[in-house]
Amino acid sequence: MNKIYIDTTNYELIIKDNETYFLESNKDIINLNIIVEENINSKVIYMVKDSNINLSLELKENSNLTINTLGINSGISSLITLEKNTNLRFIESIISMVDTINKIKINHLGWSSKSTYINNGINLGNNKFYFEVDGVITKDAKESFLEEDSLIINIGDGDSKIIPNLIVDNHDVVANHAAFIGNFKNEDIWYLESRGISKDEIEKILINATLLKGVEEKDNFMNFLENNKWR
Amino acid sequence: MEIELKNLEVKVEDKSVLKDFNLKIHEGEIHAIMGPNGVGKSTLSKVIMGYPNYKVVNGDILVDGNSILNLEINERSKLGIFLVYQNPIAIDGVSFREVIKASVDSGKSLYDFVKDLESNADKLEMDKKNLHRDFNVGFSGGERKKNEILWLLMLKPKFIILDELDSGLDVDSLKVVTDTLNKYLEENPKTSLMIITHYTRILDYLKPEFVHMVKDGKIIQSGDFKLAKLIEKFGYNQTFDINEEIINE
Repeated sequence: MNKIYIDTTNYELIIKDNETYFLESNKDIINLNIIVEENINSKVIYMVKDSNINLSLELKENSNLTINTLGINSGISSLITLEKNTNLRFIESIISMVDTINKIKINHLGWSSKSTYINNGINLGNNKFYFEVDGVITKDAKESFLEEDSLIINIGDGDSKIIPNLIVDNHDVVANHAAFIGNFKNEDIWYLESRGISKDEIEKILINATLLKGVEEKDNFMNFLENNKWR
Repeated sequence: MEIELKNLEVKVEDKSVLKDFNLKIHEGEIHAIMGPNGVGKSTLSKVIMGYPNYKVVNGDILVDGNSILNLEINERSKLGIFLVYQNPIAIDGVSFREVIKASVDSGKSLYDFVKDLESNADKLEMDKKNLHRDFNVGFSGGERKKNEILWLLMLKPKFIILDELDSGLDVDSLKVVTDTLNKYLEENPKTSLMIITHYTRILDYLKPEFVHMVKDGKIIQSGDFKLAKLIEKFGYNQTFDINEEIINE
């Protein structure tokens, strides 16, 4: 695993090998440019606190990338481009008690490109928490697949919004979107209470579960959450 | 643990689901509650557990002589009440082991906890890899029931409610689970058990001393194990004289 600590505002990562990259940073604003070269199969894990990230992500032909991001009080705006025969699995988890606007644009430029974009958010306070997700499939991107799944758990009285757009310019594609804003299910809370677990502990379990859903490297995320108090 | 339901009336969204329900279970006793679908059997389990959407409008629930109506769900659990759910939930993103850990004595070291958990998993012939999987996600109905019993063994309750334990369990798993429960009851002779079921199959393994037939939210007949056999043979549409068989169709 390649560990990189980003301590500059502008950082470029060009991935040329089939490795896992583990990124952390502490800057208020970070402009991060990631390029995955042709025929590369890679993974990126990115954890950040109290930052605004502008991510530019480019997948070259026949490349495959899994990216898991965890943000604490952080907004992540992403501009993603997918060339021919690429596969992106992007899981973004954000917990915040400050105003957080996450803008994501996924451009399918090439034939048979595939993207699965899952964003799970926890809005802790009375703040704004938005996911604005644009999925674009261009005319040249036939036989492409685009899936967006957005969820925000509103724990306080915050203003949470999910604004999805699918802009599709080819008939021979699959594109879908799902969105949920709400609180944890009472049935889940009562079930855990019936095993003697306190309400505070249940909230912690369900928050962790939301942020770790679908994430492969759970231990890294767990440690980051434990070591960085979010309340 | 002794538990008593006294003249209990329960409403859900203004609809009466239990009426004038009376039952006393002494320490170490095994009772079976039998009835067709929709007569209030599962309601009973949720009411004892303290689910807030089930409103007790009359009567009381006493544990060792003290009312528990003002206790929260987790406080009832800490008293020693354990409900084995008919359909346990699943939680994506957090492992079974982590969730159980949050419920056990915080004074226990991680080493002792893991040792205890794995030894109990062995009793239930469980694959230990499942302890690290997301909580009940992708598990079969039978595996979820085994997870419930594993959690029971970790919490060592004094009053156990089994809500349709045998649904989803194949014959071999049912035997493993009921053997484990019987051993637990043998080692903890003051623990009492309430079995909620449609069918008598599970009763052949757990052998209740008392059987109660429920209809329209109340007990309409009580008896010994023979009552369960009569229900199995003739159904729920009549009451029985234990010696004369059917007395009231």
